[in-house]
Amino acid sequence: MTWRSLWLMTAACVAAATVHAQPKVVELPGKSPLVTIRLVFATGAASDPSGKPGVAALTAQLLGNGGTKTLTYKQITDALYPMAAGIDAYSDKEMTTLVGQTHIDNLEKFYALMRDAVLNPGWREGDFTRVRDDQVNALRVSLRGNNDEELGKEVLYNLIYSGHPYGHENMGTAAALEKMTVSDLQAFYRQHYTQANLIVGLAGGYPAGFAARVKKDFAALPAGPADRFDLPRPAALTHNQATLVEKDTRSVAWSLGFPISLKRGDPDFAALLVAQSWFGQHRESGGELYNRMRELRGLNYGDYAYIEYFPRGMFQFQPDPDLARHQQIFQIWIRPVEPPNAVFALRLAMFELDKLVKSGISQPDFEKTRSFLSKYVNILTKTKSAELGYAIDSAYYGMQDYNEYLKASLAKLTVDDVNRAVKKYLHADRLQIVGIAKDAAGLKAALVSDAATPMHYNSAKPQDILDEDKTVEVWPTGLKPEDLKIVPVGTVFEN
Amino acid sequence: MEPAKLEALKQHLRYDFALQLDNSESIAATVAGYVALRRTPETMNRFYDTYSKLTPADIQRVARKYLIDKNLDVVTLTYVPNQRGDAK
Repeated sequence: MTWRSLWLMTAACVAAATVHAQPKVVELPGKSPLVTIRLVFATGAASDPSGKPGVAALTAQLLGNGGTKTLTYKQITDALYPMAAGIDAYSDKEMTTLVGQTHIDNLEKFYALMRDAVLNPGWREGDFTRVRDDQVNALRVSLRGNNDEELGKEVLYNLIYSGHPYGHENMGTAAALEKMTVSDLQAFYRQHYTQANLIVGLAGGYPAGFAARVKKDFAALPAGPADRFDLPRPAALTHNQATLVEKDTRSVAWSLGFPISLKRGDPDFAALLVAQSWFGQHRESGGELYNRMRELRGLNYGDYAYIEYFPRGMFQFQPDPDLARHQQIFQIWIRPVEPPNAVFALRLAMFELDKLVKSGISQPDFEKTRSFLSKYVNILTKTKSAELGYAIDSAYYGMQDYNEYLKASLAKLTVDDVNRAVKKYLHADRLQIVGIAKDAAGLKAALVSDAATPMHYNSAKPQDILDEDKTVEVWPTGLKPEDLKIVPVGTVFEN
Repeated sequence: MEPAKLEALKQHLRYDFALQLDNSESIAATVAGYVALRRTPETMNRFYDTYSKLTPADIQRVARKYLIDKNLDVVTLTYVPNQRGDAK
């Protein structure tokens, strides 16, 4: 391999995705010596059987991190090591993904391992116990213990979708996982790992005939049925509600939001995306929330807004593909703030959302944001693996290539379209609010009181900011004592 | 070090490097790092050629020279209640 051949790896031709019949195969062939294989099953936590939350996620983890009928997990990891390859598994409400990438030199060996991981799982008790314990620890230690921000976001989703097929954490509950058995996973596998649910994705310089062989191999899965997601609308709130997760933590993390009747591919998607991007583009310094909360006031590290599910946002700048959902929420993420400024931070976010809903965005801001998004969409698909993931999502949503779709939609937009979408889909009341805090009782008292909660600055601030603060520090939270509950962290995702 | 393990490691390093070159940004950053040394991307090939010639004896010799107690510093991070230096 020479440097030139290494460089040419990315000179893969960008072809329009080809989609075959069942099992669907999405192809992005090219000249790159890197080959990506994505196996996406249209199933997930929304299909978890009653009383067994977490089965879909645990099944995916066992397939991706367990042995096969012929090889132990140790033999598989030993075989993958020289290839520097791996099989990643992740699961959401409607999609379960196993993805791996290999150099073309190792394609046959790697494909055989990945194929058998899905078609011939070993179901060993030792593998099951290991991945089950890992999932319990991911809930109790990683999520509850060490990641207040993700915890707030996941609790928010659970509250918004209470009583709904989306209404439990993808990883389930610790108690349900501890009662789970290998046969629960086998039953889920038999019912949901079907050809009808499968979308096979291939990208890179795989040889002629490879796609047909993969398609034939995966025809060994049961033909169907396909999961159906006849989802009810989540219950609408009549006024603001808040849940404070009480935890021994140094700062306060906030997440707030509400369901929106809009998903990727819908006519107003691009318009609302412009508003969301202007208001709070993820991990970018240009968003309005970021500017007003961090840049002007130094409240915290960042503040963002979303109209699509974006887990693990504190670890990555672009979202993972293959998290498609038929229902989404509008969400504001306020990164941790110091406790004395916690109520002010929440009030400021509510104040800014109210401004957006009432006033919309200006023509210059619209032009700037539209221009940003039309370029940023290329960043989302900068790797072949991501491009393939987005192509699979487009096949799932029944829409054209995402980049082309978004650029074409943005080109036709006007600022009036954006502001009409803001009025139609967003509101500054009826918010579900989640806080992670040590002094939950004190926070509750401040949230339900009309008393001002001024910002505590460490340095001088311009007069216009201080003047605005006078409005923000008494901004109505809309919360009465009965609208606000306190939950000990030890009970979250436990039962 | 077992020869088979060393061979697996060499393969791993080689393919791990190749798999990182999956987008323009990564390629630019990677190539720049090597080109800056000798003004030629050939440095990448020389680097991995050097890896390919290593023997278990080379690994042992270097480990005995550098991975020794005299060169070892240990930092232990501990938690002491009420002395966290929290901001007031």
